[in-house]
Amino acid sequence: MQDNQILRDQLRGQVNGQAQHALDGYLATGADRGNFTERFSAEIQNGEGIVGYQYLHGTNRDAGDFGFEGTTNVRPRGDGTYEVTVDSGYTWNDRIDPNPQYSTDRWKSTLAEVATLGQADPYDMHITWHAPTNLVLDQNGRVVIGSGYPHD
Amino acid sequence: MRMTIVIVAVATVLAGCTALFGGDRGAEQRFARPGQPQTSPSGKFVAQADLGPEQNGVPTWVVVITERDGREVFRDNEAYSSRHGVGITWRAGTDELWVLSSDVGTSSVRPGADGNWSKEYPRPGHYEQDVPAEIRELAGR
Repeated sequence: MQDNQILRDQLRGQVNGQAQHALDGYLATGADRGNFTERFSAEIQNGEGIVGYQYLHGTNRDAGDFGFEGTTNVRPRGDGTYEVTVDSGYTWNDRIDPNPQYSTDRWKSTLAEVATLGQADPYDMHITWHAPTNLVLDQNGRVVIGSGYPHD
Repeated sequence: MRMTIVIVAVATVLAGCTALFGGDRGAEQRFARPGQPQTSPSGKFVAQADLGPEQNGVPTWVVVITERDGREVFRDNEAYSSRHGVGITWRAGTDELWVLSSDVGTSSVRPGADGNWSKEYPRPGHYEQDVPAEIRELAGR
């Protein structure tokens, strides 16, 4: 999942936002550590191919959508900028279920349910990865340098 | 006796094949799709699926609700992937539209106290409570 550029592009804004929020808190209260938990929808490429990315395409809200949580640490640098480390956990939540549009899918699902003695239920998948990001922000909260996932 | 068993077995297999490959047409007819709008239980509103922008060659559908005279009361800001499948259906006996997307999940569209239609999602962790049994069954759950 970390290789997917479309997803990286969506997550970069989320990570930057958390860094900026952490810096705002630091400047307001002096607290250098924080944490966050967010849920939102994420999407990667669609297509008709038998390709993993295209098969997943979007996170499923019923399964938990996209989970983004972690901690932040702010450290002032000597030059008036701030280094913010965002240590993040990312989870792609999805559901594999019959296509409601086609009764044939529902019938196949029912048949599979019978054939497997109730084991062929729709199922959820949760793909989790962890990655730190190091950012340098100026005193206005503008990101001037970013390194680590999803920046690199 | 043996002949009766054989006949029953053959009939069962044929019925199964019909269901598997012919489909349950009655159930499919309840879903709105492009060119196949569905009128709400009260008869006052019509749900339809407009074609949205293609995503890498995959057609998408956009949910639209109009009054019977064509005046639009709701247009979804989300385009649903037809590859992954979306079922658009009125709940029986009430003007409440349900959107079942195998891709992004379940939502409902209904009018508020002010008469404006809006979309809602089940609360996280409350799928069973927030989605009626009739709709859960259509979603295969």
